Parts: sequence; structure tokens; C-alpha cells
Amino acid sequence: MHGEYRVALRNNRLGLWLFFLSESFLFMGILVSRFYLWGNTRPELNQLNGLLVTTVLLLSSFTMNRAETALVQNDRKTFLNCLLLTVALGTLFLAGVVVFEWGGHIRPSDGAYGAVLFGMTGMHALHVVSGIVFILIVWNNGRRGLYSSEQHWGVEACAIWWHYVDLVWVFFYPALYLMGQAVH
Amino acid sequence: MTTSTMYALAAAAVLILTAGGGVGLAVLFRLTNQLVVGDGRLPRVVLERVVVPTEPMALLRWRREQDEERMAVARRVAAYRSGATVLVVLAALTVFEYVMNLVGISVFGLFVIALVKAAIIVHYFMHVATVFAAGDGH
Amino acid sequence: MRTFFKLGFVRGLLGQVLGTLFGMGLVTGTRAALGYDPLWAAEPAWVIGGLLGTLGFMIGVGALTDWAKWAIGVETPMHHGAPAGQPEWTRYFAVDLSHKVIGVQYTVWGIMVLLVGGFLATLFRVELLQPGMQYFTTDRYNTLISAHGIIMISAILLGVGGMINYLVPLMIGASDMAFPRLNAFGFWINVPASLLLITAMFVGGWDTGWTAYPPNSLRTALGGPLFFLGFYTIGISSIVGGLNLLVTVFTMRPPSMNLFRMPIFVWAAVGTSVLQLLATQLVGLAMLMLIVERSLHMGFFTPVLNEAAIALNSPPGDPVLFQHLFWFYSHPAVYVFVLPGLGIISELLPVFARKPLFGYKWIALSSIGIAFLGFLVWAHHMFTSGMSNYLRLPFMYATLIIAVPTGVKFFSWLGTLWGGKLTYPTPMLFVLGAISVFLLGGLTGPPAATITTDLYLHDSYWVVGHFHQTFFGGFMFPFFAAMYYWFPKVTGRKYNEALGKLHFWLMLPSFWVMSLGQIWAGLLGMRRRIADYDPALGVQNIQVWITIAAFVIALSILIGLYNFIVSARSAEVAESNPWRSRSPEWQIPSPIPEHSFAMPLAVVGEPYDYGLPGSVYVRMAPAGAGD
Ligand code: HEM
Ligand SMILES: [Cu+2]
Repeated sequence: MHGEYRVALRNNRLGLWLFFLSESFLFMGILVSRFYLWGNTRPELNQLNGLLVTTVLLLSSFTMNRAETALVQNDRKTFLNCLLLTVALGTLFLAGVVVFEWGGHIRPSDGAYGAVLFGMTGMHALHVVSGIVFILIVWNNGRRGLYSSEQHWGVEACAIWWHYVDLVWVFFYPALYLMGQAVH
Repeated sequence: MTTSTMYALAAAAVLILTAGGGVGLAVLFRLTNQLVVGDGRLPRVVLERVVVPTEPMALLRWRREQDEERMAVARRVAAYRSGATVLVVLAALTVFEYVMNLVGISVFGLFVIALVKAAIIVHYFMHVATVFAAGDGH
Repeated sequence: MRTFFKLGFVRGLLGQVLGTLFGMGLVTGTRAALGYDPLWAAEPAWVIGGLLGTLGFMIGVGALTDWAKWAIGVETPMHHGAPAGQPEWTRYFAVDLSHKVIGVQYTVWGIMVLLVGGFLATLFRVELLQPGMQYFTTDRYNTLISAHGIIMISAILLGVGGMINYLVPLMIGASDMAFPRLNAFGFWINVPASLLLITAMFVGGWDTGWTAYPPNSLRTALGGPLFFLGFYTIGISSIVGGLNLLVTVFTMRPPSMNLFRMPIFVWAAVGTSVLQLLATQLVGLAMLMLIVERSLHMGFFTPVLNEAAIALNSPPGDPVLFQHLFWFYSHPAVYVFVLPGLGIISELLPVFARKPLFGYKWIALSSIGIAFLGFLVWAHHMFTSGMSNYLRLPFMYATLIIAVPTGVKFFSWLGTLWGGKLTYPTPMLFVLGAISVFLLGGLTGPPAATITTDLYLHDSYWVVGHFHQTFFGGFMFPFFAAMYYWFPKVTGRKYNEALGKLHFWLMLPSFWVMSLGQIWAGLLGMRRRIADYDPALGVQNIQVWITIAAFVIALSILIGLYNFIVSARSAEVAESNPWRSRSPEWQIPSPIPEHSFAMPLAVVGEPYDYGLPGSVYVRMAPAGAGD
């Protein structure tokens, strides 16, 4: 691999991971607010919906991983198709959040339940949107053959960004749907 | 909600996640010509009629090329399969977390499960080790 | 004229105006489409306008251009030097990728913001000369002190960014920062942020102080949300700046420079950057929560429930949560402000004492220790907030423990001075002044950290005195020390030593008068952030002294700036290493050429072995100086 690319790749990776660390403090702050305000309770939410959106996001993480692996294996068709699949699943996830979670009986202005519910899902959804835009950019560049199986920092960054957004949901899902006593 | 309906919901969740998700995936990948283990077929060259060289050096070279191709395919299949395995494990953990919650696990317990899932994602999907490597691809 | 409109800065301003108008139009248009009445809603219009205005600035100035090109797959080679076909000076008004230019941009913008903040202080100091209200309404007064606080904080962050960006790559022999474009982005986003803060004063102001506590901040005038947005935007700069620096230090050192052979300032920069990278997210979150609570009525901080929430059995919001989030950043932030300054002190002392730095490793690790402990003490600002009682004691002890790494620094400074061959040019004077002032701050902190005494001291002028001492000792004096010390390096010219000394001898005593006056007024019962006081308190004389001292400080700073400007234009050319420093940046010509190091740097000895015969720190093509 080209020496300069190597150096840049190393810096880029470290930089992106440091950014994850920084973002983790943001999401930890949100989680702390949830426990501070909700304590050991939670509002009654549709459990099935929670499982569904979680599954969809998990599947999207899988397709993203498949896309990256495919590029490394020089399997371009799978690479591009899986990117689009990820976008589709991500959009489905967003739809699930917006239609089912936000369309329920709780409004943002309804006390700490409303505020934290919309705060958590909203901040996470914002990151999902950023991930979708990122994937579309990478898909477009991939279509034009700008990535090789050896040099594809753009794809790698996009993939781990997407996984990071999924990772946040790994904590948000139980915090919203499982932890504490449901209050009617 | 009574306990029995909750367990019913849990059972439904297991079904949805494992069977339903699996079938859904298979359909999705069918559409894009991919089964869960990926494009596992041997490259088309092998299926075409080939003339095996008889001259010893050429034969050796031909064999090596064949092996390399097979190895590439094997690598690809293995790589795809490891992604699928991680998916299955994560799905199982999600179901586990859901069911354990019905059974009555503590908040701490749920956090531990989430941490395990996070560790799996960080290691297998996000390749955290590459940060510490000296910048050499994969 | 053509050149003028080609300046990135001018285009950025234009972009900000257009973006703001566009945002306002968007809100108004949406309201029209939804049939809302009235069409004009000031708060959402200004918030969205402020957001898109910031974006507009960044687009206009060109900080996003390269990334946009990457997104569509266009390569962008690194550009060195002035924009094509433009004179050299235009670099400083445009997106430039060289860390040396960016460092100067940070510093100059920081000083300008500092002047604005200082000007505001002189205004309200005049009001405080006598009891009763003379020149301002109480709202105006509150806006002035609030704006002074946050504007000074942004000035300090800019000054910190300036020192770190200019110095660290040079000190570790790197060609530049790891991410030059991110670096430029991190600087330029400060400009719309500063403008937001200034705008906030003119659209109604706000009266919460820089701490923005709800419920007051939820009700304050329109300046409030613009201030939150400005604060948030400054935070973005902190995060990307910290990230960039950490990657630079970890990956771009020459292989021969191990961690314990880095110049000590680099350690301080690392400590600062860790705090910036991690803690800033929390204050950003807190500001964001305030904005959405105001605009969408999301009740994070309001302990009152509406009917729907009661029907849901929802718990209420809690204003104390805000204080936790806020101080989780803002306590570490005070170390962001001072660690680089303390690093400057440690960096300069050995040079002027011609002696090795006493206890290098201890100083280095104390920076990291302070950064780490800094995360664990935030609630010492909240002893009177009504937070859970059992939290008080642990936070008190944790706070007092921070005195240990801070004390380590002090003793190592004393150890360095002890038996040294001291000389006293202006930078050294500022360093010594910094130590004396920081000591004061260190002494007035613990009484505020002790619960029993803080119940009386909290929200009094004592606290005002305390943090001015720590800021001046930890930032202002070291910053000016750095300005004088590296002035010959940056400009290639000598500053005027007599004026420099005048600057110092005006600033130090007047600062002592000002801050001791504040401490004294606090002990007499003067509350902070209050526009008026009862003559019976007996603080009027003190207030007069404080005001006079504040004006002398302002004058001294103006003298300093005059010195810098005039000397940079026309003073004598400086020698290449006037302080006989061993640090890498002094081994290359001044002003520094575009590519700083013609030859790679090799570390062959300890960094601070001043006065040890035959010892060498770094080697390059033109053999290093040092003694
Ligand atoms: C490193 C230098 C320091 C800086 C830059 C600094 C800065 C500040 C600032 C800005 C405030 C006021 C915040 C506000 O309410 O607006 C403050 C308050 C406080 N500082 Fe420091 N400080 C420093 C060192 C210390 C030390 C060494 C201690 C104690 C051991 C300390 C203890 C406190 C306490 C307890 C308060 C809260 C007082 C109150 O509001 O009642 N500080 N400090
Ligand atoms: Cu503090």
C-alpha cells in the first residue's frame, strides 16, 4: 500500500474512533438524563414495535458488514447491493420510529416521559439520517469505481459509523423498552 | 398485561427474530442473488471446459492457480459466514434480553447484556483492532 | 475591491447573513403553509436562522468545500501558500490549511473577542461605582455580565487553540496537524459563533449569566437561545480541535521522540484536548435540551406537569439535572482554560532559569492527573443546589484532592527556579506573575470547596475573585508570556522590551487589587451578578478600587497590543534563537518557512537539560543551538 495512504489511514482511524469516544459521552449524558428523570420507571410503549425496529436496525448492521466484506473480497455487485439494502433498512427503521414511536399516545411536551422519549429517539434518529446520507455518498462513489479492495477508507468509515449508530441503539433499546417498571 | 400474554409475546418475538428474520433475509438476498453464506459457487472458469496442461511446469502452475481461486472463494465464504454468525448471535442476545426481562432481570443485568452486544459489535463489525494496527488494510 | 470580495472571511459573513435570512424565511414560510397566526415567530425564526446562518458562514468561507468535493469523488490536493493570484496577507482571511496560519488566526480572533469582552466589563464596572442604577437597566446589566462571561470564555478557548495549533506541531517536529481541513473548520466555526453571541446581546439580551441555569434560562429573552446556540457552536470547535490534537501527538511524532521526551507544553495540550474531546459533549447536550425545551416544550428541566403528563403518570423534569450536565463540562472546562497556560509556565521557566525542569515526569503526569480528576469534581459547584445530600462529601473530598497534582506543578516550578541563573525579560516576568496570581486562585478555591464555608461564599464576589485569579494566573498571564516569548519566532522581529515591562508592571499590581477587592467584597456579603448593592454593606470603596484596577488592566492590555502591532510591522529583525531555547521550533529560521522542517527531526537527548554541558535535545540539518 502507498506509504502516504497508510499514514492517512492510521490517522483517520484513530480520529474516527476518538470521535466515537466523544459521541459516547453525548449518548451517556442522554442515558444518564433518562435514569435521572425516569428513575426505575418507564412509560408504557408498544413492545412489538420496539422489537421490530431493533431487528431492522440489527439487520441493517449485518448488511452493512456484508457490504464492506464484499468490497474487501472484490465482490462489487454484493457491495453495492448491500449498501442499498442498508439504506432501505435504515429508512424502515426511521419510519418505525417516526410512525410508531412518535405517533403513539405520548407527545414531546408530556412531562419527563415525553421529553426523554423524544430526546433519545430524536438524537438517535438524527444519527441514523447522517448514516443514510453517508451510505448514499459512498454508494455513489462506489458505483463510479472509486474504491478498491485495498484502499477504501470512505467505505470503512461509513460502515463503522453505521455500526456505531447501531451500537447506540443497543443501549437505548433496553433503556426505553425494558429497564424499570412500566407505568400505566 | 398478564404473564401468559407476555410469554406469548416473547415466543412471538423469538419467532419473528429468528425464523422470520432469517426467511426475510433469505428472500432479500435471493433478490440480490446472495444466499446467507454469500456467493459460494466456484468461479465460472471451472465450469467451462478446460484443457488441463500436460507439461509438468504448466501443470504445476495450473494447479496453483486452481488452488488460489478455491482459496479466494473459501475466504469469501468464510468472511460472509462470520458476518452471518455475528448477526445470529446478536439476534439471540436480543431475544435473550427480552425474555430475561420478562422473567425479571435487574437493570444491571440488562446493562451487562447490552455491554456484551456492544463488545461483539465493536470487535467484529467495527474492527476496533485496526486502530492499534500500523495502518495496514485488513 | 475585487480582492476584498474574494476574501473567504467576507464571503463567510455574506453567507451568514443569507443563511440567517433563509432560515427565518423557512420558518415563516412553514408557518404560512401550516396556517399559523401570526406568521412571524421570533424565537424559532432566530434559532433556525442562527443555525443556517452558521452553516452559511462555513459554506461561504469555504471550510466545507473540500469535503463536498470528496463526497462527489473529487480529489483535493493540499494547497500551500496564498490563494491563487492573491497577495500573501489574504491567507489570513481565508480557509488556509497551514497550522501556522490557523494558529495566528485563532490568536488574533481570540484577542479581538477578548477586547469585546473586556469592553463589556468596563461598562458594567462603571455601573458598579455607586449604589443605585445609573447607566443601565437591570436587564441590560444582566446581559452585560452574561455576555462578558461567555465571550471571555470563548476568547480563552480561542487563545488556547492559537497556542496549541501554532506550537504543538512545531514542538514535535510534525509537518502539520493530522487533519488540516478539520483544523481550519475548527477555527472558522468560531467566527459565526462569536457573531451569534454578539447578536444575542442586541435581540433582547439574556440574564442567566454564562451558566444558563433553568428555569430562568427557559424564560429569559430572545438573546437566550442565540447564546445557547453560540455556546453549542463553540463546543463543536473544541471537540474537533481536541480530536485533531490528540491524533497529531499520537501519530506524528518522530520515532525518536518518546512520550517522556516531548516538550512539556505538549503534555498540557494533551490533557486539555482529552477534556475538550469528551466533556464538551455534555454542555452541548445541555444547551440543546434548553433549546428544545423552549421551542418544543420538552420538559427536561421543568418540574411542572401538564394534564397529559399527569394522565401518563410521568415524573416531572428537574432543573438540577441541567446543573449536573452543565458542570460535568464546565468544571473540566476550567482545566481546558488553564492547563495550556500552566504548560507555558513549565515550558518557559527552565529557559529563563537555565536549569533543567524539575521533575519533568511529575509535571507531565500531573497534567493528565488533573484532566482525569477534573471529571470527578463537578458537583462542588452545586453544594447549594438542592442536589442529594449524600453527594456533597465525596465531591468535597475529590475537589480537595485535585490540590495534589496542582501542588506538584507548583513545587516543580519552585524547584526549577531554585538556584537558577534567572534573567527577567518580559516573558519571564509574566511567568512569575502568573505563578503568584495562580497561587492566589489556588488558595481561594479550597474554602469554596469546603461545604461549610461554601454555603456562605457561594454566589458571592468571593467566587468572582477566585475564578478571575485562576483565569489570569492560568491563562491571561501565561498567554501574554507566550505572546512575548514566541513573538520573535512568529514575526521574525523584536518586540519593545520597555513597553512589554510597562504592560506587565501595570497589569500585575492592578490585577492583585482587583481580585483581592473582589474577595474582600465577597466576604462583606456582596452577591455576584447583582446590579445594585446596599450602601450599608460598606463595599462602595472596594467597588471603586476594583473599577479603577479593571481600567488599568484594560489599559495595560492595550499597551501590549500596541507593542505587538507596531513591532510586527517595523521593529528590528530578531535573532533566530534569542532565548537560547532547546525546543525544536527555535532551531529553524524565523519567521518559519512554509515547510517548517527542511530535515526530519531526531531526538537525541532530554528536552530540558539546560545548563548541562554538551547535552543536546534535537538534531537537524543546521545543528541545533542550546547549551
Ligand atoms: C485550575 C484553576 C481553577 C479554575 C480555572 C477555576 C475556575 C472556577 C470558576 C470559573 C468558577 C466559577 C464558576 C461559576 O459559578 O461561574 C469556580 C468556582 C469554584 N472553584 Fe474553582 N477554579 C480553579 C481552581 C480551583 C481549586 C484548586 C479549587 C478547590 C480546591 C476550586 C474550587 C472551586 C469551587 C468549590 C467553586 C464553586 C464556588 C461556588 O460557586 O460556590 N477551584 N472556579
Ligand atoms: Cu469547578
